[in-house]
Amino acid sequence: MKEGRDLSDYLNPVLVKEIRQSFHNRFILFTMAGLLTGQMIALAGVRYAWDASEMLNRPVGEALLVPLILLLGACIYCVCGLAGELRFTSERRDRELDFTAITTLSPFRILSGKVAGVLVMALFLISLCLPFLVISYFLRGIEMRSMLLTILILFFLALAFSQLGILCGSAGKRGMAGVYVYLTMQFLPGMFVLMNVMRFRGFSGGFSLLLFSVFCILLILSALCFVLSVAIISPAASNRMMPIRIYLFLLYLLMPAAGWCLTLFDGGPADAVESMLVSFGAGGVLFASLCATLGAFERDRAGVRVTRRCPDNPFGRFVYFLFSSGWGGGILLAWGMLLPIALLEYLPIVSRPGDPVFLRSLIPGFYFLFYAEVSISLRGLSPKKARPWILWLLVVILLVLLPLLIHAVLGLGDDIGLLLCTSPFTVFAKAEKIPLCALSALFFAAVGLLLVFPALRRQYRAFRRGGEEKI
Amino acid sequence: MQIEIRNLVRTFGATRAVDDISFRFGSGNIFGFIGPNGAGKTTTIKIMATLDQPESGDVFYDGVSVVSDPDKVRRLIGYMPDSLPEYRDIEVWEYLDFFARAFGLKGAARKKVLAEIEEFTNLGEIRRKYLAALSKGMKQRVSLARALVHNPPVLLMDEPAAGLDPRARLELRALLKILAQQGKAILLSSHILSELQDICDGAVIIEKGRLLSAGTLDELLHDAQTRTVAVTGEGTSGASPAQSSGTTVILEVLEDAEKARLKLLEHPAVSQARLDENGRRIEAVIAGSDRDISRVVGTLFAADLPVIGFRKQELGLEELFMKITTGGVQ
Repeated sequence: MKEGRDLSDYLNPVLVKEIRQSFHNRFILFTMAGLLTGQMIALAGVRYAWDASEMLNRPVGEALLVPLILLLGACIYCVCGLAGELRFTSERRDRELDFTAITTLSPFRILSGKVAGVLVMALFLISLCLPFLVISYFLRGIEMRSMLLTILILFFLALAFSQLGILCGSAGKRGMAGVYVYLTMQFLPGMFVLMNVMRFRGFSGGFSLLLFSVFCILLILSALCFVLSVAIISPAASNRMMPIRIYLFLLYLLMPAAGWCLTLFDGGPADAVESMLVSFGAGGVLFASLCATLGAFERDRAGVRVTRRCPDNPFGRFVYFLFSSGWGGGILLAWGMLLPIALLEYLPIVSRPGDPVFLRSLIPGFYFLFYAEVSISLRGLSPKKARPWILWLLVVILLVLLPLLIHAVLGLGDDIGLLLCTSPFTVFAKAEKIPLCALSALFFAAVGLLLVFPALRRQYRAFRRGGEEKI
Repeated sequence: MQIEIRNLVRTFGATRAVDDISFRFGSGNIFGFIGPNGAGKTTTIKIMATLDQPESGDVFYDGVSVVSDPDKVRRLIGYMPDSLPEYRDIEVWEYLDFFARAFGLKGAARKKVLAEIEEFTNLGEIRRKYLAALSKGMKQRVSLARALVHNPPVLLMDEPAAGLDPRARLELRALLKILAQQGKAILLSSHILSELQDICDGAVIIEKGRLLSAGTLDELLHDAQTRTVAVTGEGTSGASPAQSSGTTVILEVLEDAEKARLKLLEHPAVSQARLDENGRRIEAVIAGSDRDISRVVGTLFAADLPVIGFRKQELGLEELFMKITTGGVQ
């Protein structure tokens, strides 16, 4: 440690500020007091329900643990999620409070400081419950493994809630607290089911696989919320898409590893290679679709602040273009992610499942690419410069929802015919029709690429250091 | 440090809040930024402080652009808004400590800087108070401290004296003079023009988003003394009713003021002469040098009119402001 420094100098300044503000905040202090009081009441309730001799002879730990976990979960939701969202919204609504405008801290540093602050508060809340958790363990009836896993799930939930809160807060609009509450409510039924499965079935069968999947999903969603938040709070002229595209591409590359991990659990796939390829196919299409859709919301030109860092060599320039702001890179990157998946179907050495699962998984990917390309091509035609997301929504309504509605009204049932040819519902077609459906999806995506190709070429030509770009 | 504002334009819908403004100032200067309400002062300062983006034009701090390098610019400027933003659940010292950390100050250096700033802005007694509980004057001191924490060479201050009592305003003026002596370039907007005149080296006057005048105080006031003014109605000579120019001279007469006024108007150098409400003071616009002025006044003495005093009207910022603005808002 350098002379004169203290430990806090190594911490993120936003983390230090958030912790200080949290311990001055009355809402958080009352929440903590409520947590301690609630635990005392739960303990008193257990003592009241059973006398001392009964408590010695019967396992009553669960009777104490359940209310403790519920209380802790509620406090984590309020402190780590809702309070964080409200504070960030108020900072983002006023430009003179927004750290991206009044300090030289990068968006990444600001948000990582906020996340770290939330996690510290989550750990603090858990530590407030430790004495009572120990008591519940010694009242018997609970496996240590279950208790620790429950705490771990709550910690991951704290991470997910905080990330979602930060994402909602980064919009800086009133009413996002309501959106946040609605979104988080979608998690709760699933978490409730998971807790009960663990409670009644233990770790037998495919539970550990389920748990692993839940952790992975929570982590992936949390990280996605984080990179989206970084993009939202970054200045409009900066390279805000780069962290998102890098993240999606990394996930794309890691999908085979995820598939292999699934084979390590009881109840998981038996064939590791098949599992890796199916994960790669399904996950890869998801991330490529996301990449294309986000690209459709992007601006036409990257801007001077992006292009001035463009490498001079052609390969470096192309790669930098793929991952930089501007819709062109997103569309090309999505193509680059989808085409290898198509090849998997035809590689002779690949261990393939019976159904053309790779082609089937590609169908929605190519359609989302198509919708992105069509919405981009409409930009020049819209008279009042409609926002990109409105154009995209219009395209989806006309090409997906409207045909689906007509299909339903006509009572066509399982017949995935011509009416739905512009929608990804052709993924539900019979196995023998899948190659044709995949081909038609590819055809539409290629037509979309042709529509945007002239603009894409212009965009790429201007994408160089010193190119004539205006913010 | 040279600060250059170049062809700045910012619109809000149909309103052109900042309309092609250009001016410059440098280290060691205090520049006043003057204009009626809604003139575009706050918008301009916010653009300079990287809180807003112009539609066109730019601001340069020794060549560093606000548009393309806002992060670099933030290290060079300290921004003091007209009111401290509402920060909850944080004490004064924690607030300043955060900004010191955010600007990269560490360990003993940070503590030293914070101690110096607290002493400079007299925050010692309130450092443990919550920001939300402070009075307006205290908040302004905290705001100034925050702007100074990273020792920026440029200070941008939007109505720093608004809402302050006279003592606090005096203290603020003293602080600003010290900062200018330390070599900082300071731009401050204010409506208290008499105070600005006391501390400013120069001024920029805008109205309805447009620049009306800019320069050192001497240049502005001299320009106003000999400025072309629009004249209509009675009390004018044969000069064109649209224009007359010259130095404004105030003459005080014992009696026969109207006669004296008419006598003045007979002189070809006098383009305008009018009586004040009391009927004893004549405000005349006389073209030419000081010698010409003395000749004109001499004609009154020659006509045996009881002139008891005369002086050139010394324009201050307030008079200049009233002279060149119309009071229009957008």
